[in-house]
Amino acid sequence: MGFVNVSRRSVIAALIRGGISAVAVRYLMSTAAAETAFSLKLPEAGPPNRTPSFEVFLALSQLVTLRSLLDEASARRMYPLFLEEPWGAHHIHSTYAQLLALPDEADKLPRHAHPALGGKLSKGQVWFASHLLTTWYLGIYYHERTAPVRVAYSEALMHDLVHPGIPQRFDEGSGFGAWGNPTKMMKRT
Amino acid sequence: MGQSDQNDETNVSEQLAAEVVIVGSGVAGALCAYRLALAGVKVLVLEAGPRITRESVVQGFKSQPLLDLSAGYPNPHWAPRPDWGTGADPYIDQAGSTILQMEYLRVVGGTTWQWSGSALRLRPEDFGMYSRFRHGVDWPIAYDQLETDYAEAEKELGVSGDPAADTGLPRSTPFPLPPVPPSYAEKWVAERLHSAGLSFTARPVARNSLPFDGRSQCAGFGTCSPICPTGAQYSAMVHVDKAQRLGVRVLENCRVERLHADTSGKIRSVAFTRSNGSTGTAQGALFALAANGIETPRLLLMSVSERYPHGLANSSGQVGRNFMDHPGLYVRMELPEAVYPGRGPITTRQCLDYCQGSFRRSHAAWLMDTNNTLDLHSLTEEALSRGLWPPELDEFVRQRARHQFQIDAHMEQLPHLDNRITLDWARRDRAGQPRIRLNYSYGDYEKAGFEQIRGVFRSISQTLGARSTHLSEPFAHHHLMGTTRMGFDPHRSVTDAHGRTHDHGNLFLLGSSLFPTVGTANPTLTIAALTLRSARAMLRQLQSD
Repeated sequence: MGFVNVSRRSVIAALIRGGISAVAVRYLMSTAAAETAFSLKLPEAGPPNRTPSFEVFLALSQLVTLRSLLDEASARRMYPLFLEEPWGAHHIHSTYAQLLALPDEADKLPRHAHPALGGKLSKGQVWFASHLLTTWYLGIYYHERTAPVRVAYSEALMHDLVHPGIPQRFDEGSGFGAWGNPTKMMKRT
Repeated sequence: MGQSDQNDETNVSEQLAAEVVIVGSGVAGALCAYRLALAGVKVLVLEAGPRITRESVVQGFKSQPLLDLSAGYPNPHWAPRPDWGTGADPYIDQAGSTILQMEYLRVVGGTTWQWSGSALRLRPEDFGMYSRFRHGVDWPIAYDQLETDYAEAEKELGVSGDPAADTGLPRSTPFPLPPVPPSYAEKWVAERLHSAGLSFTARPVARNSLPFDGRSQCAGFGTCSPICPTGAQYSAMVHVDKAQRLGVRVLENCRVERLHADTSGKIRSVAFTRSNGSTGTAQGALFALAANGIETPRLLLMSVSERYPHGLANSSGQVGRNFMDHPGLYVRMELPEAVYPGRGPITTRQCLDYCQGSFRRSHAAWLMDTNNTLDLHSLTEEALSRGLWPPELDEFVRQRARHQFQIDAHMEQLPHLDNRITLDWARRDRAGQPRIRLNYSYGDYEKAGFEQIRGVFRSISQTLGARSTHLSEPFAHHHLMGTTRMGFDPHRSVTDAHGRTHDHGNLFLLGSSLFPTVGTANPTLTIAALTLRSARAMLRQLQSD
């Protein structure tokens, strides 16, 4: 499947088809401007015996992080690292395929359930999704086979959570004395 | 005009000479070089590490997966340093009951690249610990004798402060700059703790509250330590640059291996090795070691000979002994209201309520300061380790980030002979030098201090209505002190009150290794004040010789 430009509404519909919970969908809705249209890459999983494409990896990342907008350069740094893991290609494919295949159970999922926790993924798939989530949030790739690798700095999702209320470390100042006032933490997504 | 000698590294068996040879280019070495050069003295500074730029360090931190204070700084094989980030080679072997994860830099400008900017004076009673409290030893100088040097050091470093908040310290001059205003979080905390009887006031910092000395006003990046991205915070590069403009020659990547003394005990030269393996010597009338509280005693201990089997300046056997840090504890709380930490400087407020008093007969004094940083990485890690997923993960981090606040304690430590640096000649570091071994532990005085801190932290947490509280284990503040202490008695100290070694009349030691005791103040301003005093003594000696 190729890339499609889709509206926010169709993204949400696609995520619902993928098994994202109603809570998660509302979260996504709250973080995207109403008028925003953006590209969502929802390729088919492909055959299990073939190396999953970068597009599959990025789509899996979007589903796991519940973020429609992820930094592509960071994803491109992560992709080979995850593929090089002993079960990396298998995990990418199977986790993504499983998420795509989930029936529309949005209303049945508990309020705080993420698909990875909703009993829909195997233990290994949950571990892998968590590993991917950690990498996106911290911007550092951790795996026992190698030393930690910085894959993202300002693009690490943890920064999004407090920016622009908290300036981006090393890159921004708050301006002299402005730190004496309260601020709002907003996310850029 | 000063110069970088990067291109000279192909030289072999160099023979250099100057009136004064200084080893180390941190605040002590750089300030001394500058002051001597102002008086027309020909000075050579030898620095083991490389030159770095602010931009390269910032980029280093952003591209590194490691999270320690030194992660963005170089750690070259010819000038290795402690490295707790990788854990592969800690550089210093720990032999005591307490593992001290200290960090320091070996670069032109030294560790002031990564310090927090805190520029406090010791208190008058800190200079007489034995006389007043029957612990440790007395300094060979009193506060009054160092006061004008403190004032001068504050000008040199550009200290922002509030004299009204600096109670109990006689001052001859106001601070050069007005205080740095507190963050919203610090104000919130200070106001509530004031009602509980704790007084948090402006912390003197070498950070520009106004443009000063060609450097900009603080812009609030909040990364003062590990690096100020703008240079609004003082680093010794200020004086390296000033010294070079006065003609001081600063050789980077030039590791001094040993000092040579003649039969009369006079130091004749230092031997160095460049990063490319070439070697050389530097001769001078006076020599000054300003290589920090670990590397200075190490260099003296490495300079063994038939005449000096225990190293130079070590007839007292005190070189390397009495190592002290300011042991730290912190309390991290989740406050009931959003306070938005992580904006503005790393710290602007301190509490001196536990710095002085007769209690110092029984337990250590300590100082509290507000820690305005936000450790987003740890917070996110905590959320992930709890098994949270978006959107709950996001909400957890955002909520904690708004409400989190930390208060740190710096505690004094007494000198103990057994807390010491020694050399392991059988094992070598990456530069081929004998490995450093540190024996370190806390005594009852420090343990009693920890207990008081924990009690006060619990009370603070209760007063602030914290939803959750984390009390840390003791940690290092990376203040390397006491290992070549000054004193009147040559049998119990290494140098006199001017930093001149008792054993070698033309060898001075600069820096916090001179401190006989440490009080609760961060050491840098005292290092600078003592250096100004030593520089005057060196000038007098040059004029009289």
